[in-house]
Amino acid sequence: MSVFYQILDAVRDRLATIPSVPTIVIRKRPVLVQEDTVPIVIVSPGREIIGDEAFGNIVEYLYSVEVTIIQAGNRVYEADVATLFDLRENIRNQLFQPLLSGAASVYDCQLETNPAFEVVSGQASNYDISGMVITYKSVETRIS
Amino acid sequence: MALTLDITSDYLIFDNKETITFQNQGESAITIPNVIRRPAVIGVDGGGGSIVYGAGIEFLVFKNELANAIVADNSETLIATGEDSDFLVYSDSLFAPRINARITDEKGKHYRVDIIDDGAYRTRWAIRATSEAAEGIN
Repeated sequence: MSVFYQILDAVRDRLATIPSVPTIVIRKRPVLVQEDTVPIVIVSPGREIIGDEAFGNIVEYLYSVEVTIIQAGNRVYEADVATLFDLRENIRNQLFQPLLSGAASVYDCQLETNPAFEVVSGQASNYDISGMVITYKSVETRIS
Repeated sequence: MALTLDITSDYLIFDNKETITFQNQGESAITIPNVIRRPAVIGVDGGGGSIVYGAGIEFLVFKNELANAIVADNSETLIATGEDSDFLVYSDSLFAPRINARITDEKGKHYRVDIIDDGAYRTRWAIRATSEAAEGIN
């Protein structure tokens, strides 16, 4: 299994340990489909870039994982604020750890959160969407 | 019987009328009959780095029908009989739809108001709305 998918799988497993967490799915992109119920947490791959390199064919890859919370907002702007922050904090604390069980080559990560309640319009205007990007650092071996 | 033409009620000849529930935020819900529903269109849109879906719709609410509107939580008419300037639940101010109000259609689908067009003759509101989260069309 690829390191990237190991990371996605491990992130999903780690999120599943959060009490009362909504349904978690791994998707190619953060897309809500009609069969979904909200709230939902979508784990999806982001960029994969090369970090540091070292002698001995050692290379560091940086894998970005997007975690997106989608829930009903329905233009109610003063309710559910505290609840979402609780969930975001729990997700952040679960994911911002140096090691990731299930992805042995990971040794560190960085985490960047988007605004808690993204500004949305059009067909998205009744959803509360909140995302974060976790970049995992993985030490691997080059072929040559 | 003498037939009279009353063009202020010409909307009644349409056959796709329905009764909706309309609730401005912070106010009581009212049910309004003889609302004309225009086709709903479901589609996807991007927001917050993700893709979600929703349905856009338009309702035509005729101001004549406010005389038949019922306040949902106490079953009283919006306008008391014989007192056509007395609005029971709005502190004597005229009812008007507002942005972000909630509409419930006859099938129980919920929408939130985006745009209100008062019309040139101010006889009706054309109210465009978006379906609530994770509700499509049926």
